[in-house]
This record gives sequence, C-alpha cells and structure tokens, in this order.
Amino acid sequence: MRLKISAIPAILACVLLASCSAPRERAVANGTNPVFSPDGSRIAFQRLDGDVFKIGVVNLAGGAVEWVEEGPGNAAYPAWTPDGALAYMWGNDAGTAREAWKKGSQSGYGLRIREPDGTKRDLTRGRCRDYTPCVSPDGRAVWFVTTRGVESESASFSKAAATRIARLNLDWAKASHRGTEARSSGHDGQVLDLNHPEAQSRGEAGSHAATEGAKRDVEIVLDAPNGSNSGYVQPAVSPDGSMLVWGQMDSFFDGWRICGKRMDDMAPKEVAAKPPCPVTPSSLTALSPRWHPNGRMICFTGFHAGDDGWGVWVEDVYTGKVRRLCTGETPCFSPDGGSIAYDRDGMIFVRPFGKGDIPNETLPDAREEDAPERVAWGCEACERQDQPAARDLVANDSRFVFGDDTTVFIRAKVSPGDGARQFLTAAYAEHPRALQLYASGGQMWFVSFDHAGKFFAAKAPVPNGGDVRVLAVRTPTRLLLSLDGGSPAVVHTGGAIPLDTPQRLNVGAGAAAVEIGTGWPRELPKPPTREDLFK
Amino acid sequence: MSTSDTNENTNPRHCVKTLGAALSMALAPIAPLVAAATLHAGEPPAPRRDFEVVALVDSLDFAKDFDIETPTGTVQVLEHVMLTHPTDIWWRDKGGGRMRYPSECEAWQVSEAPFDPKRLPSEDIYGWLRLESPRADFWPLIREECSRRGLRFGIHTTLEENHWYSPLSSNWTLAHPEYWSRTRHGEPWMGCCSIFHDEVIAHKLEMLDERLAMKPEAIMLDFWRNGSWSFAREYSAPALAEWGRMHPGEPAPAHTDPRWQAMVGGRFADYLRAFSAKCRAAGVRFVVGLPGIDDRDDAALRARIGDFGWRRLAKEGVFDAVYVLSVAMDRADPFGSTERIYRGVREACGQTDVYFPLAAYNMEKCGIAEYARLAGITEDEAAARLLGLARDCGGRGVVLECVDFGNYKPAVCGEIGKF
Repeated sequence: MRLKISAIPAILACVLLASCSAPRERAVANGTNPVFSPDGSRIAFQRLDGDVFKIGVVNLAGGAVEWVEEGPGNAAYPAWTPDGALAYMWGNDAGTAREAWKKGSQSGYGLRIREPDGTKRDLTRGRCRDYTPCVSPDGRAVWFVTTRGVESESASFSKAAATRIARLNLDWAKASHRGTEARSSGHDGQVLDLNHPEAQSRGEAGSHAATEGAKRDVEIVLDAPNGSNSGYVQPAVSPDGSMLVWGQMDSFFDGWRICGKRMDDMAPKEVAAKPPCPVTPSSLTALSPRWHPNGRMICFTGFHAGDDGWGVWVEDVYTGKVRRLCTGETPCFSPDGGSIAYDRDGMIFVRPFGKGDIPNETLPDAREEDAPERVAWGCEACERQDQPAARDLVANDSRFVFGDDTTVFIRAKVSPGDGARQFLTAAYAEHPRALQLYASGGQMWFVSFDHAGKFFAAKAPVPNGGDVRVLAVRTPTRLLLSLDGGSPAVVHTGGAIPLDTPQRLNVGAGAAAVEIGTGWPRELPKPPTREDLFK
Repeated sequence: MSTSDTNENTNPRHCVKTLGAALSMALAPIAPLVAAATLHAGEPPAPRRDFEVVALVDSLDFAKDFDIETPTGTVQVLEHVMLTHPTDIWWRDKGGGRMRYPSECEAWQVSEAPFDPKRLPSEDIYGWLRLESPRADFWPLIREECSRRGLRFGIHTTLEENHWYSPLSSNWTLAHPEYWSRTRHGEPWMGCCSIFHDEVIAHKLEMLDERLAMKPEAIMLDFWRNGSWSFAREYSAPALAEWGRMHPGEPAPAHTDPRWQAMVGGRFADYLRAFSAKCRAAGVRFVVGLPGIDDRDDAALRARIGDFGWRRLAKEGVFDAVYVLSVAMDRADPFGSTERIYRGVREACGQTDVYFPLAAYNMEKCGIAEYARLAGITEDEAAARLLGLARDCGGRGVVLECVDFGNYKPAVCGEIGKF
C-alpha cells in the first residue's frame, strides 16, 4: 500500500512525539555530552568534526558557539567548575602506538582546565586515559575515571579493573600551576604527573612531580574489588557533596549500572568494608549519571528491555522509582532543575523538566543475595567413611538439580595438606566436571563453567595451618570463594551452565564436612542496598 | 577561537542503515560496484597450488614487534609471515569491534576508548592502535604485496563484532541496545546482538560489502572467535515470538533443547546462506573456520556456538571451503583419531574444499606440540605427520591458526617448506 503524500507530515509528527514524551524539546547545537553552565545560560558540549573531537560552548539565548578546543588533539567530556571554568579531557596522540610505547610517551588523554579568562592548564598527563571529569559543587576537587595503574591489556578475563575512580584537589592544582599555560599542541605545560617514579613507588596515588614533597593531592579512590575486572565511568558528586554516583560494569559479561557511595566512606579502609551499592534497578542498563539540584534525583543514559534504544532516564534515588523521558543519551539537568539537556543522533536538545516528569515507575530489581539459604544435602563426617575418594554419593538425585538461575553453595571443612587434592567433583550430563573444589599449587580452586561450556575459576591462597573452612558459591552470574570466613574472591561468568541431570558427586579424602544447598549462604555478607545508602 | 555552528549531523554513533527484510535483500543482486571492483582487480590472482598453506594473520599481534600503523611495519609483518612458507594469507579485518580498515559502518573515531563512555579501554600498546583510521589504511598495500610474492590474499573475519567481551563490542552494537542479545532469563548483554533482528543481519551483510570491496580471494568466517555469542544468547524478543509461533503457549526452553537448537540453527543457517550468496555474487570464495570438530557429534562446537548443521550446509554447497581449526582427538591415539576425524570431515563436505589444522598454539590441546608430546616425537616430526595426514585424507591444504611473531618454530617451518 502506498502512503499518501499528505499523510507524511502527520506521520513525521507522530514519530517526533513518540521519540520524546514531551514535545517541547528544542535543538540547540550539533554535538554530544551537553552540560549546563553554572548560571544556566550556556551549554558546553563536544562535537566530532572530521577526525577531531572538539569542545564548544553554545549560548542558549542566541545560539552562538564559542570553541574552547578545536584541535589539534581531541577534547571531550566537558565539566564546569562553579566559577565558570571548564575541565575536560584532552590529548594529542599524534604518533603511532609503537613509537609511544618504545619511548615511554606521556601523550595519552589527560585533564585540562580552561579558566573563564581563556587560560588553559593541563592538570594531568601520562600514557593513560583520564576522562569523564566532574567538579565537586564547592569547586575544590575534580573527580574522574582513569586507567592509571591498571594492568596492561586490562580488557581480559584475568586482569583487574579497566578503569578506576580518581580525585584531584583542584584548589591545590590551580595554585600550583598559576601562570603556567598549556601549549595547545602538546603536553609541555607544567602538569601533575601521576607516572612519576615517586608516585608509582607508592603503588596507587599520584604526586605532584613538578613541586617538591609528596603531598598526596591526587588519589585513586575506587578500584575493582578482589578478582573483579570492573570498570567505572562518569562519577558525579551530589549537590551537597555528600554522595558520589557513577556508572559501573562489574565484569565484561555484565552491563552498566549506576552505583553509589557516601563520601564519608571513601577512605581506603571504608571502601573495603562498605562496598559500593547499586542505585539503579538490576533490570536497567544505566550509565553517565548527573544530579538534579534537589539532590534527590539523577538523570542518566539508560536502556530497558523493550525500549527502542538508549533513553534519557530519571530516578528518585530515595524511592528507586524511575521514568524514561525520551530517546537520547548523556542527559544533564539545568542548575535550577527546570530543564534537561541531552543528545540524540548527534544533536543537543533542551526541554523543560517539570512535575509531569517525576519518576513514577518501579522496575524489577532482583538481587542474587536475596534468595534464602536451603541446605539440600550434607555429610557431617565424610572422612570416616570407607574409600571416600572413590565413592559415588549421588546419582540422579533431584536434590542436585540446579538450574542456571539458581545460586548453589558448597560449605565444607577441608584439609588441604601438601600438593594437589580434589575435595569435590560434581558430574552432570551437562558437564562431567560441572562443579569442582580442589587445592593445587597453594591455592584453593572453585571451578565451574558458563552456559557455553567456558571454564571459570575463583581461587584464593590456602591459609597456613590445618583445616580450612571453605564456602564456594555459584550464582547465575558469579563464582565466589571464601576461605575461613574471609572476603570472597569473585569471578564474573555472565551465565551458568544449567545442571539438570546429576550423575555423580564425588567427595574426596580431606573433605571432613560438606553441605550443598541453594540460595545465598547465611554467613556471607550481603552488599548494601540503595535503601541503605539513601535513608 | 572561532564562533560558528553547522547543521550537519556529525555523530558517527549512528551509521544509517537500510532496515527491512535483510535476508531477502542479501539474496538479491548485490551492488554492481562491488562486483565490478572485484572482477576487475588490478592484478590477476596468484594460481592455486596443489596443496595450500593458509596463514591466518592478525597484525595486531605484531604491535610490539613492528610499527603496524605504518606501511613499512605492515610489509615487515608480511615478510615475517613468509617464514612459514604460506601460499595464501588471510589478513584479519577487525579485532573485536574495532575495525582494521576505515569503515563506513563502524566509524573509527568512537571505536577508540574513551570517546564512547560505554566502551572500557584496553591498555598497553593494543589499546592505542588506530588500525581502523584513515592513516592506517593499508589494505591495497597488503593485497599488492601479497600479489608480488605470489600469495593469494584473503580476509579473515570473525563471527561476531566483538572479541570475547563487552569492552570490544562494535560501535553499532553499543549504539543499538534494542538489538542486544539476551539470555533465557532476559538479561540483555551489550557484547553482541541477536540475529533474529533483521537489522542485525542487514548490518552484518553491510559490513560484508565493505570487505568484498577490498577484492579478496576469499573471506573466512571464524567460528572460534565467536565473541561469546552462542544460541544461549538468542532469547531476544523476535526469537521468542518465533518460538511462540512454533510452540504456542510453551515457554522458551533451555538453549540445549533440540527444538531451540533447530529454531536458532535454522535462522543462523539462513544468515550463512545469505553471506555465501553475497560472496558468490562478488566472485569471492566463502570459507568457514570451525573449531572443536570430532568424529561423533562435534560436541565442543555445539557447546561453543550451537547446532547449525554445518555438515548439511557443506553438502548443500553453501561454503567453498571448510577450515578445520581444531579437532577433539582421542589423546590415547592422537594421530589415529585425527585421521578418523579428517576422513569424516572429508566425507561430509562432498565437493567442498577442506583444510586441516597445523596449529602452533595449543589452546584447544591439539596443537603441534600436543601431538608431539602425546606421541613422544619432536615437533617437526609431528608437523610432518600432520601435513601428511592432511594430504592423505583429501585435504586441499593446511591452515596455520594463527601466525604470530616467531610462534612457528624454524624446524616446523622447515617441514612446511619441504612439503
């Protein structure tokens, strides 16, 4: 059937209406990553122009654009300071990767600041990526993500985080660099050098190489937990400065989710004791958060199954309710909270944000940790039975049917002894070694497979001494291994092999007591919830 | 500072796609430009040999050895690969989602971390390479240099627009969450897209057009490098709708259910047929590289991908050649069991050319070193026996999966040269 020409405008109008629930949006510039200036009169943004990402500021009243950085080099992720300066990522990586690698080049992506008078200074540099800066409301610190100190080839199963969250004391940085202007073509300005040997010898935080002393003004504040290969992006400090939220990917088989933490809990000891907690529902892919000035809502880029693409979402972090406003990405509230800017298809839009946009939807928010413990089977004195290493304890027993959506745990007391020792092997038709617990090479190993038969292992050093209490957990997405009640090693699998057809369970010599069950083991701490964070 | 603004849409995130019935589109005559370019390539292709040695080359793996972002470095890679005495070189066109040529479909600028915040960066030298940028557009050079050396030039591409995990997803995948793959429990994963969306198939075939325009002798689709995609990730909305049509009222089963395997396998086979049709129309051979082959039921391949009936498709003539990348041999009888597997594959493939593995790496426990260890012989002796087996079992050649800097030992290269 052919469409009538006269129908086309109406269809276009419908498409426009469908793409955004509030049709009052207006385009203000070509670009992405918009952020309102402190007085709300301008928007800073980035634009890909040919081969170069450049940063501009559009005046909302007249539409004129002033270019802050327009090459050579790439500039992205603008963030305003309260006094009208702009911090952003900048780098001019002109050579080849091997040239830079061989000569130890510092030409990565660092942070640069451009003062209201046009003066520019490089804040950081290095063969790394410092990006998605956010300036604290008091203007005294810039928060950003960085690849500093991560292991090489971080995008692999076996290595640690791909990015970390860092903080730079901006007061001090500004004072230290007063009068030192960055050259536009290179990194020759005086900068904070986190790759300085002194900084590296401390293992994590940076130092100010250009000044004497080791004042610790830049620090890595959030790193991946034990064994995880997490990544972080776009930290955002709450308007009262008490809270930090950011996008987090727990593993390469997980999606982005916004997590948060109290600033009070950012000290290294607190970070370990109080891990970040998810802020957005588990069923929502979410990243790039920004705060509403009321400190109660955030906006972010999100996707929920069934959506037609990335959307502009808002959440009331106290209730957990969310709302998808329209198709778009990287939203940002205006300083008065009455407008929201975002980008879509390379165009920046601004639309009012009002009562009709208040989050009102509750999305599924499942937690693997909420499934109650249920012991399916156990032996209290396994070691006293005859020929324990060879016996078959279970065959075709329905108690051992564990779907790929079931959390399974093994609780055992074992005697690692010296050398390799197999404590438990569960054979299923789906995989002959579907669950294994053994000691080898001074490590305790808990092994399983994902739904495609790919091997995954959580391992931890065997403590010195005699018996060891082992808690091994296979959730639908992770393997956890805790020894003697310690913090568990965690490996993300992204999917578990379904264990529908049990064939044999071998409990080996050295396993003194074994329990197998489903649900979250009672002794394993549960991570904090959004409700814990936003009381 | 300048004050200007323009109205062009300069965002590369959204490569404009022609949507619709991708499969039927693919089977229609393809763009005449592609075919013309292919048929009128400058140099005549090197003649085929009686027994071919195909080297799979991923230039990224040479990043610390040569400056692969320069023409000189590219030729150095080629020269190094020549030590293995290849007759054919299949050059990798992408590493994960990052292309190794300037692509219209996968614009390079946002391939580079951190310009899309959804993409986590790779560190070390590999994360800084810009092999997809215009400054590293060496494909005509590679083709020319292969021709000068009497080598046939092909493209080695991967099954998924991802390498293993989500940081290496393609730009297109990151830009289109609505097509993301899902597990049975419904979780979308940004690592790959579901083939039950016509738009996904259209995008894959659009990228194939770009490769065909490079005038290769062949394109090899690599099933070992599957980007963690499998039938277990195909629980997307259109797949579930299809399941509902076929099995009204019945919830979707586990991916191991034969009916699920048949449904997804059928869709996947259609994609492979469309891929083949495009290659044929452009005069380019279509090759598949299959890991985990055995003489029973290819359990390893089924676990890795799913059951798509590759033997049936081979008989049907969908493929011009099958590269066996690894075999699940009997470790008690390595060469005997390998011969049985080879003969089974040869039998299954009918008129389709077959190539057998000669792998320096031992990732699937079936490399040259593993045969040598199990049989108590040297690696060059093992290589010689594998070469002989490949020939005696009707193989058209062997495939070196893959040639990296110095991974094929000189003695092994010597055996290849003698052969």
